[in-house]
Amino acid sequence: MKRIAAAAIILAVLCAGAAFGKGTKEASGAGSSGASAAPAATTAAATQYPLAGNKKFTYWVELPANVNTYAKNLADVEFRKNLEKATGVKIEYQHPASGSVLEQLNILLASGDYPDMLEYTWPTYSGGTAKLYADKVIVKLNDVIDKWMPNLKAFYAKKPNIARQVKSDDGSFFLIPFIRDSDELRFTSGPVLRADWLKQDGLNPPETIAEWETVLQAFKDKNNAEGPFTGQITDNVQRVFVTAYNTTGTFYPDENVIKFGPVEPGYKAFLTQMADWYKKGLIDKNLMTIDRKYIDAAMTNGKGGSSYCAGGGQVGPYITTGKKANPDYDLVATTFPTLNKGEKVKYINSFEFTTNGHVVVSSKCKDVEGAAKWLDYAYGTEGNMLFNFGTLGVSYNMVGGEPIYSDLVMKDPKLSIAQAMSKYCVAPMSGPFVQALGYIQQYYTMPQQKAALTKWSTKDASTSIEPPVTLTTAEAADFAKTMIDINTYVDEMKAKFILGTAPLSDIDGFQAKIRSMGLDKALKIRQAALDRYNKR
Amino acid sequence: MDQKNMTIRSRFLREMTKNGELYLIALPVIAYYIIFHYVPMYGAQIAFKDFSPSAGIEGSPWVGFRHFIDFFGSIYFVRVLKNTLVISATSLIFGFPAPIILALLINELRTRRFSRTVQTITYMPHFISMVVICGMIREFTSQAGLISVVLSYFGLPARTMLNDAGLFVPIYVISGIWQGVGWGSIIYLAALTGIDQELYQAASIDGAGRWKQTLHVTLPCLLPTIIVLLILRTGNILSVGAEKIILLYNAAIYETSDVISSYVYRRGLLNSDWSFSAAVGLFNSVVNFILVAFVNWLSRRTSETSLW
Repeated sequence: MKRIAAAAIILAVLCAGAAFGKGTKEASGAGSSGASAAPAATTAAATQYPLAGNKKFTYWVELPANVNTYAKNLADVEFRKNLEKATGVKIEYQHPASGSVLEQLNILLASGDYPDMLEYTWPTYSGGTAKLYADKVIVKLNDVIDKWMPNLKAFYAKKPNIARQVKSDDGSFFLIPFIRDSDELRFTSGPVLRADWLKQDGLNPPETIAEWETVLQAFKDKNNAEGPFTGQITDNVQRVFVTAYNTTGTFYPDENVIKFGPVEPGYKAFLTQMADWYKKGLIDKNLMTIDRKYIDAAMTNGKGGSSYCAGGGQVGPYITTGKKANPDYDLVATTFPTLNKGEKVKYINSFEFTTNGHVVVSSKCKDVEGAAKWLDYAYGTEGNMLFNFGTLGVSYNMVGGEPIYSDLVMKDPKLSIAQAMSKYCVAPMSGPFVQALGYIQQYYTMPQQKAALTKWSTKDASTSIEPPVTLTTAEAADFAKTMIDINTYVDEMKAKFILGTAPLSDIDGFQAKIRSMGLDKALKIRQAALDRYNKR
Repeated sequence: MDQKNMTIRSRFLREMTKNGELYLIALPVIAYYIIFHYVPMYGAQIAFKDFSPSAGIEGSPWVGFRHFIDFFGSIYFVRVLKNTLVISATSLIFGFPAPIILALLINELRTRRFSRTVQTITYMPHFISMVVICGMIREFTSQAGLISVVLSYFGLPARTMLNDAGLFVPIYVISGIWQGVGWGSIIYLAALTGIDQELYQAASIDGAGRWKQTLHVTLPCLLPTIIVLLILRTGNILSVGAEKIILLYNAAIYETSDVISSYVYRRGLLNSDWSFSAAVGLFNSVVNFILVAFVNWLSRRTSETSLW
């Protein structure tokens, strides 16, 4: 008996290792898309809301963190009730447990029994939406938009550059998108410094690398900062400073030729400068182990003097916390640094269409027309106001022709502004609608935050970053296989050069080695994807 | 022929009438292993396929050993294998005897209340979440952290210890001992209570002091337990868990800290590469199984104690 038990334990241990793939049944071949089956109809007229016929749909989406603090299902949220009233469509919301969203999505897709609509960060899904269409999981939306979504169609007609980002290389539309239609909505993080220290030291917010060095040195000498610049190596240090050297930490197009930052000459200069600053104590010594909590503490308790911060989640709360202990405490945002005065950085940009908040219509949806009309509501004037500001007279009022959030959301005694907003609208989250500039201008209540928006979006007119390209399944697999080793190598060596554990004279060898690790193949894949994008 | 069948059937019936209840009690456990451990093994075939969730296990195309070749062909294969073995072996050498020593020490304590207190305190770290533990380790070993500062009194430079590749394995192993030593000692303490007290009396009559008693009575009586646990432990030699590694390591010290599971984790995150992960998992399981079988054989040959 003892032996059997012991053998059973061993088996259990082994099985736990081997059983990565759980039994999943083959996805049943889904029917042809509702769109292609329908006859080519006349171009749509404006849809009348509320829709008739007591339509009901299922909608799969992760419960947003803001909502999670006070409701367990979107159906209980005031905004969704108002949306139901306005559109006449009842939605049953299905929420995966947060933390294992992707796994649950995969199990759902493998089951062959999909909800009518699914909202997810689809551009990050392995193989992309084109593969889901090929596997007959989702429906192609070109005809659907043409016939039943006049609002979205009009928006695309007005903004062809955005339509181009959303569609796939062969011109198909698979997604109903979340769009952030202005610079201020997209550049919401950037370099931030202690304004009170700058004032004490008689310095201006730095704009060039040389000015940054002076400021960081002053923070160290005069303000006793342990981390004159505090932050994580890749997400903070590299993001703030690498663009000054006319390159980036990853792939980017230079006049439509794809380049990989770490093998460019600018990257060598970047590494050399950062190693120098690290040695001089201008960068936080803990840069490899820092997390968000550390930055939160350092930026408010005087250990850190500057960092890469988000306007909403960091600058605002830091100022509130910092002022409690030290009434002089203040922060100021500055532009991304350049090498020479008067220059603007080239390789920062952001696209209207990014990764989150997009919706697909599944092949199991029996009434694609109804779903499309329901989704189209958000892109109309009325829907846009509801999604961005909520209900007139409740969550916002019209003041001088502009929608202004009411005190109900701006001064909730318990909830944060974003949480209170999430009761009445979707503006602080993401979803299939066009986000309005008015939201961020009011969400950022402090003048320091408002000023940050223009500083962080300051960029050269020739600005260029990789657009939302799509890789084919085979390309994606090949690319990942090549890049896992290259990324490991770059991350490791970047850290070693900056920490001084590898001599800077090895940088040339480092760049040569990256090329020898199959970089050309990866460059070719991204180049092909960019070329296809440019032809869209 | 018929007669033989008859005897088998009658023997089966007799066995059932005699021990039927015992079999009934065992049934849920057997069902558990079949449902949760044998059936999922069917899914291990995706290691030889290009699995995509929408196509399902059966619908995904076969690719033979491609994922294994990918793994063995990676320029980091040797490094992650070496790191896995080094971390595992160091944990085994230093971490395995620790709970035995603690159990022996607790066993020598005469005041019952004191020994209970010691036990409870040493169990404690086992119940703290790994995320919290690693947060504490990172904090304590940072430049201004407790451990770095204490070490600086002894002339060592105060620095972020986790930036130093040479310190990763010691930090990992020592913190592992701290976490697991109390919990691990429970099984030995249980075995210690089972030792016949007369043996100690006989030994003391023969003039053995406490040290000699430990050496000649306690340890030999503990040996079977020690060996069984050692064999089980060798079955995990390639399974350095990703969780603690990922919470502690950083790019600057990949050289000593990047192990098989963390490498697979990074690759999995990049591309949801299920088949690759399954292939590596299968490889680990096979190596672990061979090791267990080998150590078990060795143990049976030398000490007559073994799992099977």
